[in-house]
Amino acid sequence: MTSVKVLEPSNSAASGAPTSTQRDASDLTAKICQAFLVCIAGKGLGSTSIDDVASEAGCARATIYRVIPGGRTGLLIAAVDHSLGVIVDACATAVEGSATIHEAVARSVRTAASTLSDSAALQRLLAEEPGAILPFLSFDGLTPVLHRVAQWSPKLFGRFVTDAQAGDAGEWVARVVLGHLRTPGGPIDLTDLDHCRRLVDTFFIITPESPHTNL
Amino acid sequence: MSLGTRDRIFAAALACIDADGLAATSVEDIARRAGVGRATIYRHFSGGREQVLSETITWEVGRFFASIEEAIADAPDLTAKIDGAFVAGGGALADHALLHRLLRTEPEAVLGELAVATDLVLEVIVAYISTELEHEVLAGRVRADLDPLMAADHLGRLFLSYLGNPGRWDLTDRVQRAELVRTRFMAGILVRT
Repeated sequence: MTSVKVLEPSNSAASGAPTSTQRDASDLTAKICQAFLVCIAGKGLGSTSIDDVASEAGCARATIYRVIPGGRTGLLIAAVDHSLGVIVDACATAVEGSATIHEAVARSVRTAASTLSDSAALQRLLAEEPGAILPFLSFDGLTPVLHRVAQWSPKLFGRFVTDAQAGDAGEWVARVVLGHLRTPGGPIDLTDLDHCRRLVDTFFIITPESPHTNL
Repeated sequence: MSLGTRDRIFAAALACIDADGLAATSVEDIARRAGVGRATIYRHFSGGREQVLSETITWEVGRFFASIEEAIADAPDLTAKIDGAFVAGGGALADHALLHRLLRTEPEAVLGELAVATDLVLEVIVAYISTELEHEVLAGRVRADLDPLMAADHLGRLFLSYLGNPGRWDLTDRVQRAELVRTRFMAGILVRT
């Protein structure tokens, strides 16, 4: 298999129901990530300091180092993971009421693409400092994102298909959306639900579970 | 003559990047290695160091994809061409020592430049697939009601996605590759028999 190393995978989430301590830590992580994204949107990544993030999050610098170790890279990894969670939550709302998996996939593509398109932090990074974010979306750096998407996909598509097939559907959504994020333009507007439906109706198929489905 | 000089400068710049990395490569280094004066570099690349390095990455990416195109030239249909492109592209990517080193040592710089090059490459890939789809429709293998522009755009982006990160698929495995191409690329567009 081709393997092009960019970044080590981030820590995977613990499985099972979270304890109250885990929930508190998760809330704090989310708050810091959100503050980090606000800072990037406002002044750019290069001009954002840990002090800025601490001030925006309303916590101490030491708290950031404790909750999200690894400095700027650690914050970026956490922010990517946090943003993925936000997108999956938005997709979960969007797919409610979908009668078929094709409609759910189309709505997920549209919601994910719109959320990314509306992210001031991400758009600023892509425009001004693409090299800072692309390591998380390119080559082996994409692997943690694909793993997370596969983990969360049953939440979106599990009522239509098996978990493995839901993982395939989530991966399809991720590849389509990220393909457009890195290279925008072209005849397909993923923020237009009708375009997404046409794309999904043409190209998305549910495959029987194969020996390769859960590699 | 002019094209020859540009190619010589690109080759020299690539050798400099290979030897010293992107950040440490200067116009002087490139000029010395290319056997031209600094003024020649600036005459061809008015944007100086930034432009020559950026265009060198694009040049190398262009050569990479040209080698894939050459490898699949005789493939009989789109299915075989996509399959062959994964073989040639996957192999070339795995063997590209400079890319691997830059991704390890200067990921931000090289990925920023690759993003620019990929924009251009995608256009070329989409145009190629679009032409192939027209042939496939005429041959009766692909649905005639297909929107070829939309299909070519989607297939081009998907190809780049799987080439860069195949995910669970082993592109060196013939059976898995065939299943990937059939289910993710061709299933929706082939004429159903």
